[in-house]
Amino acid sequence: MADAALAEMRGASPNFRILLVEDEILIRLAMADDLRLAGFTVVEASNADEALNVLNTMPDIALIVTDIRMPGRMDGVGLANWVRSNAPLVKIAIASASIETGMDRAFDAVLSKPIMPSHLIASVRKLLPRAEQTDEETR
Amino acid sequence: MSEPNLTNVDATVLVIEDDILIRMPIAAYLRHCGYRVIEASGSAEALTVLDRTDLKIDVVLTDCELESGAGGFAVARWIRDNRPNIDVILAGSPKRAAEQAGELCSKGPHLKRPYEHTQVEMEIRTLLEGRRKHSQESETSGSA
Repeated sequence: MADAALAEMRGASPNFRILLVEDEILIRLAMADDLRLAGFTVVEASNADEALNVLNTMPDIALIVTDIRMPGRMDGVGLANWVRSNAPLVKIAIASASIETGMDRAFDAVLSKPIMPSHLIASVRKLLPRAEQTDEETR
Repeated sequence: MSEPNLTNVDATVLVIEDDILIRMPIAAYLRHCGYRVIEASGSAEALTVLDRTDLKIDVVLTDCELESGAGGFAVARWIRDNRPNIDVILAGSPKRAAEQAGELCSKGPHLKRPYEHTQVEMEIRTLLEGRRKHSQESETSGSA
């Protein structure tokens, strides 16, 4: 998506903090750029261990977008399960090149790689409350 | 977060740091200051980015003692040999690291960890100012 089109969506994107977990830096960089252009605050982690460090120190993560296949002690599904048990209010979007049956029921969203920027932003926005809803809730 | 001297900066900083709890706040601070920031969690990721010459990078801030892969010095040497237009700021604590940093970029900055975020931003700004002056001087001498 062109920068201008993403930037146009910026006004409609409340400033939620998203944790993006992806071990391939060029993919992470592109996804983080798209999310930031759309107005979100993004924290980047290169594996599940880094993500757990963030989740344990930063209580205001609204959504985690994670790749499934990652090196390290825990993959994306393990991370998602940890989040389900320890931070149940955090929404989870799983990204993978090979989506398995049933994943869409286990997680809040499933993103099929390669992910088009427009699809990423639309999926993320669907998972997070709209700004006006948040305003009404806090009134 | 302390308030930086905000101006329109059109510069990209590659931050190489394997401790996310150090990388995340300095990256956030530099973005807050107006820089485009690319985050690398180690030298392998950094070299993947640096190898892409279509990605404009002005300054690299790297930890000297990255735990896996080539260390910060190796990355700095690679940059000196392959992308000499990029300025490098080395950050480290041990004496040996400071000495190597001095040897590697005799006129470049090296920060002792832990560093203040404002100090990092000031070093980046100084390097960018130096580049601007150098490029203006080159243009002037070229047109003379």
